[in-house]
Amino acid sequence: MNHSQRYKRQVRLPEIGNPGQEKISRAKVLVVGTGALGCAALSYLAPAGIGTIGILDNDAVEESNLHRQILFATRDIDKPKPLAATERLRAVNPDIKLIPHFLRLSADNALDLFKDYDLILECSDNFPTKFLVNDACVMLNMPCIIGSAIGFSGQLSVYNYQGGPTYRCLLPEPPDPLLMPTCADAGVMGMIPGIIGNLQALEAIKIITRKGDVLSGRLLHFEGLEGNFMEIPLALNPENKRITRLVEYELSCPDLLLKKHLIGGKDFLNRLQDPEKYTIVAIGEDEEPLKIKNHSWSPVPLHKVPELIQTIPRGKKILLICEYGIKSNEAIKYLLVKEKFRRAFGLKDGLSALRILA
Amino acid sequence: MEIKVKLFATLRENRGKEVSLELKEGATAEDALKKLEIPKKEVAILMINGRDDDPGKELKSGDLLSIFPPVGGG
Repeated sequence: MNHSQRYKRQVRLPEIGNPGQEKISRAKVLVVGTGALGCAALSYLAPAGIGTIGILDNDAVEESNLHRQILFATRDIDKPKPLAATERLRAVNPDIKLIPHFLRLSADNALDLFKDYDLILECSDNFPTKFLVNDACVMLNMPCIIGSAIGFSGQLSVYNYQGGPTYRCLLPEPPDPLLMPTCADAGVMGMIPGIIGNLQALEAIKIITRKGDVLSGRLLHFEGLEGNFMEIPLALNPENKRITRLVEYELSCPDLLLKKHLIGGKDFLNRLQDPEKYTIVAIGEDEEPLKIKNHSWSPVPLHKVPELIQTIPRGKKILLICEYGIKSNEAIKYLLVKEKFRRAFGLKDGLSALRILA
Repeated sequence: MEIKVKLFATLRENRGKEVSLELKEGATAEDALKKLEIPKKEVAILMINGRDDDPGKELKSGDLLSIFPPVGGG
């Protein structure tokens, strides 16, 4: 294949040249997560000519993704992300092999999937996946580039590279999911994962071509509001290399679970007709009752939920409501993860959104 | 004694990015965390004067504490 025109500007770099481009075209890279980080990384990896790129995600495109997940267009809403991304990247570079993996990464499939690749870019939006990717890479002795972003901040490092530290040298265990804000709760400025995803792609090129100082043994942290990059040294704890099996942290990932426990306004109004089946728990910090149509509930504050829940029989279905859907989401996560209360449902976006509908 | 604390990412919410703390002599970084109401579980990296350090170590007047939370979004 003659790449003389497409890759001319990067081949001209003495660090790349024809040998470097040859390495790039032989490389096999898997991008785990096709959200904001993944889209940014992919949008440079594919044009650079990475020979084989795996694109993994188990989600479909949503409208709320579009402000930062730059591979997707409005017409892609509801399409599986790996397929929409593949379609877009194929148009950009038809010479490379793109493999969409529309599935959830799990302890059962991670090792099998990873062994067909040389390098993993971890671009998911949650800790359980970051730990799973790290652990699988330690077991297979392959490097992974893990990035993350929230608000106006982001960070990345290359882990398990040539005997360097692993992700567990930064964080020994996944943080308590109920303590950790996610981008869905805390928000994120699209450029931040854009910047971090691009840096992940750059590290991939450095590893593949064996040029420059790979970002291993140091965490690069970016504070966007200040415009500051900081480097934090990371040291290897040899204990973290001793991983013999993968642990599934799905239960610690309340965002994935939460989605399955949210119901829309119409569904909620229907369920209200059947008061026998549901215990309604209204959450609010002041004493003002929560109202919709001819219904009215006196709210309990969020911190009283653990106490209240002990008084509700286990078999009963619980319907949680609040004004904006934020507090009820927190309560559902608590019930699902801490109390293993599988029959808790919440009103998506709260009563305020329902009033518009009603 | 007075120390300086630099906070990063989500730890800045309701606290600001830099705070001065008045602590008793002999106080440790853990005491500083308590005063700032930052649970230990919300700390991924704690540096004293730019170096990764033991949170139980005694602080000196003028020390700079940098605290980073785990960042997991994407």
